[in-house]
Amino acid sequence: MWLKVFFTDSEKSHAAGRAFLKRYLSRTENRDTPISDKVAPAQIAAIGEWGSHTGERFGYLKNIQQPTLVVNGNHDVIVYTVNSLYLIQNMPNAKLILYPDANHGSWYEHHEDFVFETNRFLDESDSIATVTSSAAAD
Amino acid sequence: MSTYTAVTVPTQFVEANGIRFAYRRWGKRSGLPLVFNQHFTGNLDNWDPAVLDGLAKEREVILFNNAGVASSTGEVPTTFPGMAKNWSGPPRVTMTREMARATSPRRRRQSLARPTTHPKTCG
Repeated sequence: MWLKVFFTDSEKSHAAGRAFLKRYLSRTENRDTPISDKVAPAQIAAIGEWGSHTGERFGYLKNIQQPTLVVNGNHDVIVYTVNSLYLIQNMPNAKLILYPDANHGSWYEHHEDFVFETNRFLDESDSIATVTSSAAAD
Repeated sequence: MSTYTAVTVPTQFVEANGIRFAYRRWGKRSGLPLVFNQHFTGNLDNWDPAVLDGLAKEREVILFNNAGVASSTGEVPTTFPGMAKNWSGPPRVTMTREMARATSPRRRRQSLARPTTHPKTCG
């Protein structure tokens, strides 16, 4: 099931999926406890409430000023890829990375590039945050 | 720099508002930590170790289970503001506090005065 939603049907993506599952299972001691049957209904309720936004379409996104990096696959079947475009078109300080031949687990499939891009993005954001903090401390 | 990896780092716990939150923290002690908010029905094990350790080379990473999820106790929040509220109070202070102790005395005062007000988030 995971391979179907996190990776595409291509051979390359499936191979990346199998490598991911191996990494996912590499912690053999002190794994976390499984979730209870109360988690999914509560989180589905939260997602429903979040989605029933009133007012101007995407209006609330315009107030999110923080530097934001949006990452997605070019063929996401869980949260359709076009939603990432809506995000960056409406958030004033967001940029977008779309990975090729990638589904909902694009950052697992392209983990090396994701780590590189994210570290660089956070380094830039850290500088911004430091400037802001200094001003606040003064 | 801690020698833990995503696979070896132990799970820690912090009590706040009657809830025991499970979290894991490791990585290079430098600047702001990176906080991971887990996806739908995921627990502490659902992150990719390759991603976590790649990011932990540059900064500390903190994984945590919100209330009622896997090894955290309490009721699962049914709103996103409810999830955010669980992170924003004493758990944030405690999960980030040890980092302050490990830094220089001057830094320590600053950190305790404003305990990691704006950790970066990922997820």
